[in-house]
Amino acid sequence: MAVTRRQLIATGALSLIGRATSAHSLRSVTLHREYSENGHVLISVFLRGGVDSLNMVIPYADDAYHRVRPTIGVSGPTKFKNTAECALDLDGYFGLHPAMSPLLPLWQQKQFAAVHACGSGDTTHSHFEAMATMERGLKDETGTASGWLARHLQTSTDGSVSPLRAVALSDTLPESLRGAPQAIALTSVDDLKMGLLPGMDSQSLRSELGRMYGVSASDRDAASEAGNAALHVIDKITAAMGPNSHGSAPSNYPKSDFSASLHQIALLMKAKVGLEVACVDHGSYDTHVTQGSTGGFLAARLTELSQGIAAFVADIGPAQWTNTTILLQSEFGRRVEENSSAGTDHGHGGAVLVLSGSGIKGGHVYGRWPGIKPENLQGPGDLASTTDYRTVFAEVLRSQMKNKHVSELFPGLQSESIGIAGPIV
Amino acid sequence: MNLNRRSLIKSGAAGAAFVAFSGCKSFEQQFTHVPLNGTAFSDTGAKSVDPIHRLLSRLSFGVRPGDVENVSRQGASAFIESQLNPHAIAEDNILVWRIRPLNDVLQLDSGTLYDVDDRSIIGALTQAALLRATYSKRQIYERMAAFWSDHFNIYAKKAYGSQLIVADQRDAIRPHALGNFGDLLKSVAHSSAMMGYLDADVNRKGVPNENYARELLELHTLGVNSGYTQKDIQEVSRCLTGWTSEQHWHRGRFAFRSDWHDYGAKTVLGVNIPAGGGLSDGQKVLDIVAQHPATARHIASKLCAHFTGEVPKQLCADVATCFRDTKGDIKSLLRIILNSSHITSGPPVFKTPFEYLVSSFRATVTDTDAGKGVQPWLETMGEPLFGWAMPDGYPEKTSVWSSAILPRWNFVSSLVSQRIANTTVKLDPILDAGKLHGISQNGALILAITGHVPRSPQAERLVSRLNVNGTAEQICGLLLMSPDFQWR
Repeated sequence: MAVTRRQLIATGALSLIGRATSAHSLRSVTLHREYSENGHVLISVFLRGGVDSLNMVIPYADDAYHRVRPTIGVSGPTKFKNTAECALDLDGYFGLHPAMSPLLPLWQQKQFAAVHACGSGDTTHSHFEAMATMERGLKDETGTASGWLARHLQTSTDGSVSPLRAVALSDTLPESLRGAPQAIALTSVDDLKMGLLPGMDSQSLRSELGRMYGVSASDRDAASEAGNAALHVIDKITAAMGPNSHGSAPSNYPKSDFSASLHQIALLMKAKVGLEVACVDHGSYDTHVTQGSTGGFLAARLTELSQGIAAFVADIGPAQWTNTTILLQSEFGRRVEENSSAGTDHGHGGAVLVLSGSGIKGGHVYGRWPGIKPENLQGPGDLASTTDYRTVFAEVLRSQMKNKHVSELFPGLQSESIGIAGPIV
Repeated sequence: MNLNRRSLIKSGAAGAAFVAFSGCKSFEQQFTHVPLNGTAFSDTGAKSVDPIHRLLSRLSFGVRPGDVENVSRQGASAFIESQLNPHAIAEDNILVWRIRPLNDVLQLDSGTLYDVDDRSIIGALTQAALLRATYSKRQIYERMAAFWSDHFNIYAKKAYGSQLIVADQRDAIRPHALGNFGDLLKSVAHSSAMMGYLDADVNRKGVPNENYARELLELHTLGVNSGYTQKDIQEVSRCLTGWTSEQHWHRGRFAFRSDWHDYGAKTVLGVNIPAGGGLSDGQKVLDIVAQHPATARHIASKLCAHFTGEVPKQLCADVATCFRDTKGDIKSLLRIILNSSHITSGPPVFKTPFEYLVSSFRATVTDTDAGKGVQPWLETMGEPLFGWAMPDGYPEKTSVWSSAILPRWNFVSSLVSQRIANTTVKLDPILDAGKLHGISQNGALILAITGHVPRSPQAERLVSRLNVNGTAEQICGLLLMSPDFQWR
């Protein structure tokens, strides 16, 4: 059963790539440096492992929260305490984990919103099933094999012919970009430089590879598609960025793989190579054991996350920030009650966070709060999901990314807005 | 120590060339070998490749010059049968010598390994895996050891993963790679590495940790959506409470803590497990899931997909039946799959970075120590061993790997330019054998690397695409970079 579905995914992706990047469309690519200078960039941050959203956007004012989390619970804000030891108040009921203080200014400027008790229909509690569902933008595990960001890219082709419309800062493409036209996985823009063969100059090698991979349309396969895409990206980057190394992040970024990835995204955005979507993972959120409270393991993850994002927003500068949206999601939330190892097990409802320099009404926790008293919980003790997570994705794509085909992207979606989108300025 | 290893490598190099071409005659005959049916393959990827070449590229880690002729003379089924009895195959000295210094790490017990740093351990494990894949004559055995390592994936960077994986590989995975699935499953379930990775070692009475129980059912045995429920996962967790590892001097040894065990009655997948069982509760669970019909189907389809690139209904059903009849005898399952026509007719499978790298070595008779020069390339191409954080193991999907093709080209660039430390490509044997049969440099390289037979349309087309005046190194590099070489 599982394999059958995986097979489906594989075939789906192949045919999508086949359709999306025909030989003709690739060959017709030329260098238009102006094409997306004013385009909006969506940065999708996937918090792998199931982030404990109840310790990220914390219902500190609910006694039930403190009752079921005696060890890992975070106290509410009080004027007697150091702010590093208690939640940062958001609205009198919810508070932000103190490790996320670098993002508080964005909240105060209404450029950061949260949607709580968000989730999919997946009830397997499986990382892989829940990720596969969410990255494909589905209600539950059955449905189309392509990624939701891939479908967005396929349906929003207004003028963009960049071979580098989407990047994943990782070794492999995430499911959300499965089937995406002109998407590539990389860990650094330096990865886009090509090595040579003995006694052959770069132009000859480029032309030999172009010939080998440029087979006739009937002979195209996933390898030739991938090779052609890679060649065009190399051409593009070489033209835009020159031969210098761009491997290490400058000192205004904190030292972490996550920050380094965001720095690479910033470089590509500044190079104006037509980037529309970037995917980056932040992992190790599967906190079954000793996750900590205001300090400890989860706090360290959230610190790294928040400092990285704050440094990135500062790096790209105010003008680009108004054309950027950051979407943070995770496959599920965690069990409401802490477990015997001072951690939390896989849960259901979670939170989606949206940050942008324009177009959103931030500084607000959206979604209907189901409560966390025993009678409110779902399944083995999980936060219920009152908002289909796709509502948030859909609204971001429609209002920020100007996609006009949102209803086609998310089959069966009931509502395409939760009200995050601000008045169009 | 270092010097010793280098001198061994040098003498080993001569050995490798000798072994690969012991009797150049057989290799020459490869050039006159006529394919059974040149167009019997599906219309994507590896087209019109010699069927024996195709068979070998699927059940081994890549085709070496001379392999095709050897197998066609012996007969494919006889070859498969001999491969299914790996202990009867003596390994070449080149492999024995190069593995020996690694035993300083690989033969240590887990307790002692706590004093060794992660990088050295993962380096030794990766070196052993690469050397075995490249030089072992027990290719099916090594493929299966790799297959089960992915199936029972463990992430080195969690807890003391690196230190514990050594014993997991040595004592749980490798002894059972071609044995009985139930035995393999039980060995892994008792492995400290797996227990630490999936938090089974902190699973206690009262509030069980479900992590291992879930992956046991979803990934290791029954497969997702096979009918088990959340309740089953919770009951499996309860059965396994108290399973943990020794601490301090005996770190890494299995332990059962009866004070952590939930002695109440349980029901797992409809089977009652009476109260008062203790350690036997978990053992019963492993028996139930190892023999479950859904496990037979799950393992059958996963093996079919791995070797044939598809999940043919009848073949899977036959393999699942065999699984039930033999109570999970892995050799019997493989015998059916590898002898089926799907092995050559099924769609091509995009090589993983590990497969790509090793098959490049094998095709070009590369002499390598698989050490510090080589290993960073696995990471650059996206597959550092024991570096996949999720318990489902590295994926086999084409679309996952095809997006990172540039690092493969850059690896070939370094390899052919002889810029990888302690790693040397040797093309002379291929060219000399070609000359004897009046086959051009390019024709000989195309046959050896891609398996396209001389004068076939695919070979002709590849020649015409290549620079006819190129040096052997350039042509070899372009062929390794070609779309044709990305598939198995």
